[in-house]
Amino acid sequence: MSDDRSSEDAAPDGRQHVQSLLMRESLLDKRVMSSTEVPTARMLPNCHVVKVGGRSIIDGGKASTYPLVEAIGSALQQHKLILGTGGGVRTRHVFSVGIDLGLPTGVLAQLSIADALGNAHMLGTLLSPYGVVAIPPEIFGHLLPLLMTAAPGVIFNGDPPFSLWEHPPSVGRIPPHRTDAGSFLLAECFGCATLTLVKDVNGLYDADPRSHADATFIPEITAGELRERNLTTLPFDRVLLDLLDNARQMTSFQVINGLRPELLEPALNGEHVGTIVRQK
Amino acid sequence: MDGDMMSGLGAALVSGSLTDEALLADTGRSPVMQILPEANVVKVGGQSFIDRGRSAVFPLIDEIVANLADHKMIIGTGAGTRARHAYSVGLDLGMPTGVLSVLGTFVSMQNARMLHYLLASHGIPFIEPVQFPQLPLYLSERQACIFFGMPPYTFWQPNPAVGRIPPHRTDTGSYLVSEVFGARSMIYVKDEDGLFSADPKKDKNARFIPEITVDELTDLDLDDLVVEHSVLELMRNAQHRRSIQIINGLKPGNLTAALNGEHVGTIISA
Repeated sequence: MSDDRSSEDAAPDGRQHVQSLLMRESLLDKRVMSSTEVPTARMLPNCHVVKVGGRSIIDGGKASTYPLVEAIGSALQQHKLILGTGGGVRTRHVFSVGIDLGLPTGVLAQLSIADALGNAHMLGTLLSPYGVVAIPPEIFGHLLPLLMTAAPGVIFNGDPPFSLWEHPPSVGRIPPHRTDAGSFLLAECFGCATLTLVKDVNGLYDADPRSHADATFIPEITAGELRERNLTTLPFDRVLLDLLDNARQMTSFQVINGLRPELLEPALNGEHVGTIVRQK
Repeated sequence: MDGDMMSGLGAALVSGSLTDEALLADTGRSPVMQILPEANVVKVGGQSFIDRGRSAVFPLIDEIVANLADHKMIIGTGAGTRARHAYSVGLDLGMPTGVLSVLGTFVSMQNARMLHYLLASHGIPFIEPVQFPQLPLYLSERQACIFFGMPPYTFWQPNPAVGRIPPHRTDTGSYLVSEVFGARSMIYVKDEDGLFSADPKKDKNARFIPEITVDELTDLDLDDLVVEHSVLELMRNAQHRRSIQIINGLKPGNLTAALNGEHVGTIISA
């Protein structure tokens, strides 16, 4: 198959280029990269992303989920919602079995998608009366603008589609980009209005309030301050701090207590009802 | 696991916080299996290789075919100049990083399809991410398969610290395949002998670096690199694939030597 003929319109360096700003440039060159710092179009500026916790809300069954579903239903009359779900306890279980079997992080990430998807379908069933259903991840991203025009809201599994391509973490085996991260990345790319993480605590504390009765509530903090405080646990994926550093559109998010579902609408209206984490 | 999920690590994972460093450290104590320890991941450059057309690609195809008897290859493709064009137009139109990632995927898919047709008579398939469960069968039956190098992050591609270009592109997507499968090697086929102290296409005084660690490379803080930064970052945390080799695929025999484990380009290790 070898053939020494070089192509007729090859450039002097032997590579056939298409004329463009970045032609012949290395995309690894720092100078070239800073030239690409330009404004971004917002695709869905009127939509809100709400991540509903798996272990914190859905795993609690009717007691924690029904009141929130009602609050979501009510919020849908005023707001367009993109709802992400966590995988909860089943994800923890599949992680522990997978780790015991020696499976790598990318496989654990691939496995966990099914749990959040199951929760998305349960939430979708409960929200069906409002015209909100779970959308399969294969079509979700590309059809999102259409879906948001056609329906008051949609549900997806909060996971980013990293799957086998998940990054190995610096410590241990757990996939670092989980459903909080997937919800954040979606909100950032689509330029959504707000990102709200619905958990079973009022927000961020200086220690886990479930095991430390004297934990102090932190109403507002920046990613940098949060890193400096080096808290043992956080009520959201730690990688959110890194993603927030590089955000261009979604430069803050709020953690609220979903066991107080009346807080959802104020949060969507931009009111401060939980912990707000800001880029700076 | 003592046969009981509700004891030990299982119980800690169910009740504990996945942001707790002590718990996370516990998840890293047991060994990770190598899923495909015999397979080599070979990434064929887009701008550096496929954009050169037949003069570069045909001899490489011949060399890949000649190695099928001895080596299993998972072959990823770069994107190249059309991605640069799409990124340029996309930037001008205000596309966010996640949309640029979709555009880069399309171009690396075109390149994968082209390599696939050149290798089709050898029964080698092109697989998309959704078909990766069939990868072990194809490797076992045909010794090789082709995939597009972009990781399937699409709209979920994290932003870079500087600029808008997706930071995780085809070098990274290929690398992560080698890491998750515990592959035997990660070989980058480009049009330079490996890493230089500057871009050898622009700086005649650029010095060749045959071997270097990620830490040394980070300290050098070079303006330009032969491989995506994120590959270096990911290598630091890797369980299996702690080194990569960048070779000049324009020189016949280099790919064969690299598949045989020889040092013919630049080896970067963590």
